[in-house]
Amino acid sequence: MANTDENVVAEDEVQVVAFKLRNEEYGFSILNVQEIKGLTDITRVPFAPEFVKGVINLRGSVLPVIDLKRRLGLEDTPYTANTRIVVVHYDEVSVGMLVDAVTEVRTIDNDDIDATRSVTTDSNVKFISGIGKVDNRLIILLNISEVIGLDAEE
Amino acid sequence: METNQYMEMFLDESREHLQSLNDGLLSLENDPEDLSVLNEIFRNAHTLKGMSATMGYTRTAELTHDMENLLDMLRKEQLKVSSEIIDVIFKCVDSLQEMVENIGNGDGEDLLDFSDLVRQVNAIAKGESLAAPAEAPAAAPAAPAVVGGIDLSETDMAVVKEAKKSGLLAYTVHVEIADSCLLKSARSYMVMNALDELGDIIKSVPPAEDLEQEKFDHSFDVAVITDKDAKAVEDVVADISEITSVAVTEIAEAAPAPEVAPAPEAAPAPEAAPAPAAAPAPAAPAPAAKAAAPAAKKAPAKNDKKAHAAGQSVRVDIEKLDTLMNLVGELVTNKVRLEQIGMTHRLTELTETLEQMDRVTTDLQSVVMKVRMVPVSQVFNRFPRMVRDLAKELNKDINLTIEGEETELDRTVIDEIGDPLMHLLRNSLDHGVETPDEREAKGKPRTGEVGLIARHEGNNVVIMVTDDGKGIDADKIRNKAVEKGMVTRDEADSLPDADAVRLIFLPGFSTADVITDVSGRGVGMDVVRSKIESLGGHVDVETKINEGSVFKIKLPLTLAIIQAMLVKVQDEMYAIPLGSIDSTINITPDDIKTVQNKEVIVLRGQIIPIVRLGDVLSVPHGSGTDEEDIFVVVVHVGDHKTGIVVDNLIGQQEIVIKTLGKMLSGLKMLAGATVLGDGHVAMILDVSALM
Repeated sequence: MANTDENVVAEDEVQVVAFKLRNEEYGFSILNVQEIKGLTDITRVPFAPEFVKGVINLRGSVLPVIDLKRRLGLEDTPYTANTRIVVVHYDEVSVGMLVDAVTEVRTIDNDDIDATRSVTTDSNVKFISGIGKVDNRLIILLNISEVIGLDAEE
Repeated sequence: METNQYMEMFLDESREHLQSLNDGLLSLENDPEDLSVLNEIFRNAHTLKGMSATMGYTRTAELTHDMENLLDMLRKEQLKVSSEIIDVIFKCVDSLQEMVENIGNGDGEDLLDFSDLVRQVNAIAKGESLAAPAEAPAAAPAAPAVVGGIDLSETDMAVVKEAKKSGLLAYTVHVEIADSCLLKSARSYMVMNALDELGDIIKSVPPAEDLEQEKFDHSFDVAVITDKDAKAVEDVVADISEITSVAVTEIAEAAPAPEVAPAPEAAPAPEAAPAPAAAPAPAAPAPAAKAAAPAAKKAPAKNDKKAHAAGQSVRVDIEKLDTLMNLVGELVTNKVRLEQIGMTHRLTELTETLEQMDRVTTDLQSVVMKVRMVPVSQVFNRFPRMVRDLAKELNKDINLTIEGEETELDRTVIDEIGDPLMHLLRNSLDHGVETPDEREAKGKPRTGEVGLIARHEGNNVVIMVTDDGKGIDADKIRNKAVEKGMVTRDEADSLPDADAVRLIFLPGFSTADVITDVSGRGVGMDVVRSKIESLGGHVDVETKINEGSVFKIKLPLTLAIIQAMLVKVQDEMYAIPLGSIDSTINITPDDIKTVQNKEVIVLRGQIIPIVRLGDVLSVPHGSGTDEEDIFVVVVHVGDHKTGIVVDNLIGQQEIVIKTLGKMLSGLKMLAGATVLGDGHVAMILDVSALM
């Protein structure tokens, strides 16, 4: 089923929600994205893995929020008016992803997705499922299950 | 046949019927003469038979059928109720229970071999009826001749009189349905329908809704007004299949002086039946009398065949209730936000409306809470039977008293509390209560008293398991604990008796000298304790040698909502469950002493270690806190106390517990999270992990 797998197989194109982390552009398959929220108060959770920013109140239920930059080993930047929480749903778990800005929803042709993984450092390669080329931009497609890291290496 | 959609219903109802069978048998055992109980049991068995046959579970139906035969013989007094018979019937019920559970698991009903049981049942049935051959045939034909009575109230009689004046006729129709009929309700419905077409039905015994629900044996009575003659009425009814006999009797014009007629005589008079058994028939009175009482009250609504609203209920999936609860919580959160908007903008109209809304949401919240509550009887129900069996096995005389079974607890708690209670009861029976001979030697009555008592105590429910047995010997416990290396000799000796007894709650403790099948496998009380504590409860024991023991379980009303104290550390808010809070105190830095580099305070002569919440949770430091006033929340787990140092006490509040989700599960020191009124999330502390 397509909605449990962010790697594109069945169709010859894929829709992604593209967002910014620092000056790079990343994307999640739209099938995994539940909603996009503005920044709200995040409550710190003691003893949580360090990439977990905390939890927020999502209409009455408690939602963990991952600091995506910290997760991918990128340098921290302060919150701006554009900071968003992208709520993704994967394998019965909902998680918020803290991103610098959401840019657009984009359709990318499968042919334009490069499976090359050698671009980044070794430790982060598992988070990346491919790189999409759109116009002159590169959108790095993320592997949600690894980002959430439920199969816990931490 | 597509039966899946009825499966749940079938299982639920079967379980209910089996439960009432158990209950009925127990009371029958206590009072073998009670015919009404026997009838009740019979009806339950019969319904069960009908249901399982309808669902196509023939083996279940067969066993029920044989059991029903036996019950029928008891009912007709062809057999005497004996403990042997009751045992066999209990076994039948057990097998049925197992079969129903197997069906529920999707295993089908064939797993269980009950041919032995059937043989036993039939042997009893035959053995006894052979012993009394003369009686049996005599009784059997007598039964159909019996005409159940219809008590016609004055109103009914007035209707009859009225009808007669206008040239109509009134009859009572006694209908017998074949023993083999499985869908009696369908047959009775057809009869009622046929009669309704002929004329007006004034009344039926049992009432129409009972007929629809098959709450009757093989016969029922209907009073009807029609312009047809008796023959026509009889023909119409007799045409319906599986009807063995129809007796139509004209209702005589009531006692000549209608108003003056003394009620007790006048009422039964009209059905001066043609049957020889005009005297109250042995089988009929109990159900008839029962049915007549409510029927008389609503007599004016003569044609009202609709089911009455008495005790209607709906089964709801607990998940739906959880969702409802969540939604209500959200509503409350949003309301608080609106209130804040109203305050900042000074919108009086908005604030007034919100006040009303506040009342509604509070009510809504408490209703949803109440919906989740179920009486503890759901758990208690199964114990009388268990205690009876166990007492027999142990050769002890036990009288189990249950009190407060209507006390309500949250569904989630109810589901979990069964096993610990069973364990405690087993312990009381096995280790607590002595054998009858021992008891006599001690000058106690031979029958041991075991109690299961539930009641409200503030925001908690207390369940107590009591016995008047030999009590727990503190010295024996001390020795055992030392022997097992749980405590040192000195420690053990320094413990007061009450505390020494509590050692039984330590893991791996078992005092039974002989390990029995019933209890004493060494995994007893600590499992009970951890289960209770995982429910946010607490278990304690009080005992007196030779007078007995009391195990007291204290449980929160619900797991979903708790009272908590909100505290602040720097900018972070935390909730501490009120149940584990002893007191809150205000100290100065001078009050903190150190023992071996650990900070302690002295509270009412007791030395209490303290932890600084900010350090433990590595809360990021803000501006330097003012050290003049230190707030300490003293919490306890069991008898251990710890002081939690916080920056500020915010106050006490009801909070809804939410899980942190799969991703953040199992974090130490956190028991969950909650959404506060202003929409912020606060962590709930797991106090036991702080110690």
